[in-house]
Amino acid sequence: MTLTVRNLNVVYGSRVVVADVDLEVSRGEIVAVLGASGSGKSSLLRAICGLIPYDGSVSWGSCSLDSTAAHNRQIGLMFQDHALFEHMSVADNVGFGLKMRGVSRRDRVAQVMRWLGLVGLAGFESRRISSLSGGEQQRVALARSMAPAPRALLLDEPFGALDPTLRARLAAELRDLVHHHSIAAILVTHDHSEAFMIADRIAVLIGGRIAQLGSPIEVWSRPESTAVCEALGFGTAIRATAHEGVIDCGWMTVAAPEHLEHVRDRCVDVVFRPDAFSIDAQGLCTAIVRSIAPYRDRSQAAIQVGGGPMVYVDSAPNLRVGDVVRIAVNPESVLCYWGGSM
Amino acid sequence: MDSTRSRLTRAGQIVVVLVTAALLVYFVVWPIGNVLRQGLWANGSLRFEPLTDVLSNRRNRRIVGFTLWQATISTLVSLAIGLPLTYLLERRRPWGAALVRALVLVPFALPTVVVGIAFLAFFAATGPLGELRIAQTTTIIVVAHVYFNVAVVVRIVGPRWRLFDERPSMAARVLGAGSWNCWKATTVPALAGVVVNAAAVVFLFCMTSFGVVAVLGGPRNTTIETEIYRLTTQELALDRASGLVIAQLSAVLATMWIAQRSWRRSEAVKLRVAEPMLHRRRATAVTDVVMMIGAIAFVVTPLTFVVERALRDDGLGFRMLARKSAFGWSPIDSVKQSLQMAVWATVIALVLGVVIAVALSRRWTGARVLGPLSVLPIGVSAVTLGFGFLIALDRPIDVRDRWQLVPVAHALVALPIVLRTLLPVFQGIAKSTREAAIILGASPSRVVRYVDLAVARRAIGTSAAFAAAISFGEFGATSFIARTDTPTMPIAIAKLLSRPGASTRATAYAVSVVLIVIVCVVIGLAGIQRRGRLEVDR
Repeated sequence: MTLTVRNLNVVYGSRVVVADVDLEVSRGEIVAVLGASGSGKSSLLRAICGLIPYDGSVSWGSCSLDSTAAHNRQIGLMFQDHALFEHMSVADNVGFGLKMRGVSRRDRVAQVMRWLGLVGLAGFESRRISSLSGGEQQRVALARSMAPAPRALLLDEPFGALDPTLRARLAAELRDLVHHHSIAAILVTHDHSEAFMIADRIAVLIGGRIAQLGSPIEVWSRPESTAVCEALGFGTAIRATAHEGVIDCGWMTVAAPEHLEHVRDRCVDVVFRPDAFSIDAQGLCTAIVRSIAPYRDRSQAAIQVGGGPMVYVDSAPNLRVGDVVRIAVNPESVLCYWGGSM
Repeated sequence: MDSTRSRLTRAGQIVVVLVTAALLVYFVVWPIGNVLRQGLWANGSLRFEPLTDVLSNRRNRRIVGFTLWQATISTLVSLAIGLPLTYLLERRRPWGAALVRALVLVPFALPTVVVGIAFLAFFAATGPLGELRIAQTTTIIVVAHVYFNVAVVVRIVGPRWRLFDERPSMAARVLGAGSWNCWKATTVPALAGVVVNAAAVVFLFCMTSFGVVAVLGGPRNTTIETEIYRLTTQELALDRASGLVIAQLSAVLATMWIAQRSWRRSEAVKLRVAEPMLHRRRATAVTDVVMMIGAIAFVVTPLTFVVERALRDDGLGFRMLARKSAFGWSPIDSVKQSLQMAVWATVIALVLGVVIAVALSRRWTGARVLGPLSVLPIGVSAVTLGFGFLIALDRPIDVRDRWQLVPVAHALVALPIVLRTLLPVFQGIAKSTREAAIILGASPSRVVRYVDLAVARRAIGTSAAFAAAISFGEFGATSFIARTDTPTMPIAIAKLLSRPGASTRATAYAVSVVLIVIVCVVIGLAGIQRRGRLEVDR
């Protein structure tokens, strides 16, 4: 069975928030929708759940859900703010979906205990929501979403408010739970590290449209546009000229990738991956060290190549501010895209 | 997605909004509109005589002047006593502060007639302070208003002062400001809005006060409110009364505008996030103890004299409760009548309040019109509303002699307070909480049951208590529309007091004691926080 979204559009007034989204998510698969704030991620999830009106179609297997009310779709949604029922206990929260589906009290108690055990909250049944930590609330929200055995689970930035350590741990737990219970899951996030940590496939959403959909390796290694590069945190694109195997950025030249080797005088957009630059005595360019700052167990230097932008490299131990260094550019980490005409 | 369902839902919302708006228009706008028409419209043209009469007539000028003057003095004295008391209870928090706070708030829920009769017992020639000879003077009116409105000051300013963010004061202190400069630079600007708001609300209450002035004022102390009542019930001079109604309405609207403005200003002030951060201090000063004892004595003493008066002559007042009075009804009938009216008024106020709160918080189509319509009753005095009922509700069918009109009037008087309690709670329910319930399989009606009503159940309980307390004590509007054969308790008290005779007076005191007990029980019940059950099943 597959959750299928076809040609989905969401319009607020005259503003198109989600445009022509096509997506298929199989049981046991997690698709991460990666996008910046305002890119339409949450609206996409709300539309799939039936909470907001949309054009297009949402179906589960061969069964269309378009005329099914939100409360009958059996699609779970985990909210960014958890949206827990503060007026109920932990057990009442987890059992709510089961109660709405008419599950008997005895079965409900058993299910609640099971799910609280699975998310590591056994013994928390009668605790008030306000007495829980952020991580515990997140687990209650997860148990509440999973307990009614939804066809699909949608997760709206579920780890947003958590610290990085807890986030990584809970992401791994969530991934295991979704795979173990063969649930089709869509996770939306603006955090690319979170998306790559958890997803089987990644859809990059830009301006309400899916700009690229593929496996994490495909998306990371071959981003299809400068906008996708930005969404992945690669930095801003720089306008340059490709001419006979060389990319001229004005402040630096680098070897052109294979597909641009024979191009002459064409405008291109260049994006450097974070690991593109390194200090190397054999490097082709010279640069000035503008600042040095400690970063975890090492130091990071901000260097400026000619009149170009600031780039960050791992600092050498004897490096000082104002030093002129030579830097090398890894051609594998330089991404070029066709730009406007010169 | 199925748009037919969303169209049906929207149509249903519009119907609910329209029905509610129609009820409010018929029972609030229509009567008030008729009062205005009565005064300003004659023979097909506008006339301004009733209005100019308010300004040109010497008696009217004196009444308007006296109304504003006594309201101003009452407000200033209420603030002078209320603000230090609020500081003591909310910032210094000596031992027993919670008990004193609860006691101080009691007069707020007491019917004005009862406050009136309490002071009558206290300052009457035969009373313990009879030698002061302030019965039937402006002083006793001001004292009674202060007694009633100190609670309003504590209630409005208290929560803000309690959660006042101390960090700016700390910043001012470390920047070199002394106590006075620190207070001037941080505390005053932070509390100015809420103090002005409290002053405006107190002024409003004192300006439109009817029960206190009617019971304590005597023939020489007439306010706009009592004059409207006299003109309409004794002289049948409806046009002259309309002029006064318009004058009062203008003053009320101006005061409400100030109250609204100052409240918005106070809302902009940053409050402390968590109360447990409060630095608690226990009473160390003698002045704290003196103020606490003074506050308790201030609240309790007048009430004890009502009880004492009722118990005089071997409990003559209580023995008379079951006997038929000279008016043809027994006081116990008025208790039953008040109970019946309170139940209906509470139900009506709650249904209207919940519907309006849900519609406004969920931004239903057209719901915005319900906001101003529902707070309109606070803008017109109860006497004006009762007067409006009297002259307007004979069309399209005459409903003026229906008993149902009394609980409707009570509910409308209570509606603004019910809404003020319910609306913030409904507005505080996050959209995502309702959506979570939907996603988990709750139908729209179950969302209302398990989310909206479950979250708001305590607020609904509090609103019900306030609505019931208001209904028990409502005097102004009921004076116009109460059926004489079965009066409510406040009307019964006023009628009993109007007749000479020790036994009649003792009966009035006994009915007052019953009324005090009922109101205290109702308000006490609202304070009991029901412990939530934590099992899986509810």
